[in-house]
Amino acid sequence: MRCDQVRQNLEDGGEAYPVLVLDHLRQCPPCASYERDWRWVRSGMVALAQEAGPEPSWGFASRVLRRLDEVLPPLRLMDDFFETAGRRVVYFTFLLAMLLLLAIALPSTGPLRGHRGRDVSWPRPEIVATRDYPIPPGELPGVGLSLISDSEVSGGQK
Amino acid sequence: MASSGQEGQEVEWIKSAQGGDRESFGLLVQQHQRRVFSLVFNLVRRPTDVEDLVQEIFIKAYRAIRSYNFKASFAAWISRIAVNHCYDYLRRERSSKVSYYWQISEDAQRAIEANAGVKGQESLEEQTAARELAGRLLERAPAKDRVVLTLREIEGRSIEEIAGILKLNPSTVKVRLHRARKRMLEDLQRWRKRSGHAM
Repeated sequence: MRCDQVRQNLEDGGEAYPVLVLDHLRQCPPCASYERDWRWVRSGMVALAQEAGPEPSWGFASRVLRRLDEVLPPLRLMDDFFETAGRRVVYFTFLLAMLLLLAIALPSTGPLRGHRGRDVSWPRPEIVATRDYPIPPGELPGVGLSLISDSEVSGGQK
Repeated sequence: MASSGQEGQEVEWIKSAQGGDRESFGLLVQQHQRRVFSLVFNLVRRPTDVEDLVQEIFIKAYRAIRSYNFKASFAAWISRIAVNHCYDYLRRERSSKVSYYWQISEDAQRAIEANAGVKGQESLEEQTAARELAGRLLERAPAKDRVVLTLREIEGRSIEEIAGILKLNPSTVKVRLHRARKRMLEDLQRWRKRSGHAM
């Protein structure tokens, strides 16, 4: 038998060990030491199991229920329903009133309503050269230039 | 017959408690309080803390009672809550407190030395020393080891029961037990070396 098998056997079994285990214990000092320690500790645990712990004192269940009331107040279903529903109705009415006030208070024109006239932008004509550079030195700048719009330029290029 | 009637009554209490009836829950507390007290005491070994812990466990149980589905017994279900609660408590306590072997009384140390080479019936003094030693070893053990060892060695629960409480496979419980015992005995060896107790 291997040492780990023997030790497992010692832990699982009671006081009476199989012959194979006993043979192994005679030949293997570390396992014999393990067995001695385990027997010692186990007897200590048996003694611990016999130790009487505290008993529940009189009225323990009532104290639990009282503490339960403190921690979790009893839920009254109908009250709770009306409270929740009522709160929702109040919130919704308040929201509606605010929206209505906002709609009345806002002017018909302004940053949130319509466009301001001066903000409308129109395409401005661009000054473009109809001749290729360089301009001959005899021609003054601006002589060969004309005011045309973008559409004219694109039409002219076609 | 009596037990099946009792179970039927318990089922009614559970159903009522699930519907929010606190009086029925109080009856369930009365029914299971002794068992939970004993389990909590065995796990934490602090008589002064036991009552508060058990109260917290029952409050947790009330909060979770709607999730109880009658698949396992109510006793096993509440034991699971108790073990989890004690596990958290032990982890918190372990991180805040450190105990040392030299807190073992001199009498216990002498008995441990005497027992090192002796096999056979133990005297009362030796039994006391063994109990003290086992208590210290458990106190020093990691919370996970302590829970599994307590359930098996002190509470005397079967592997299947422990597996049910810890929601583990029985084979995993066996492995955990073996490792916990091994670690505990290694701890004992370390103490012996540190204190210069030759085997």
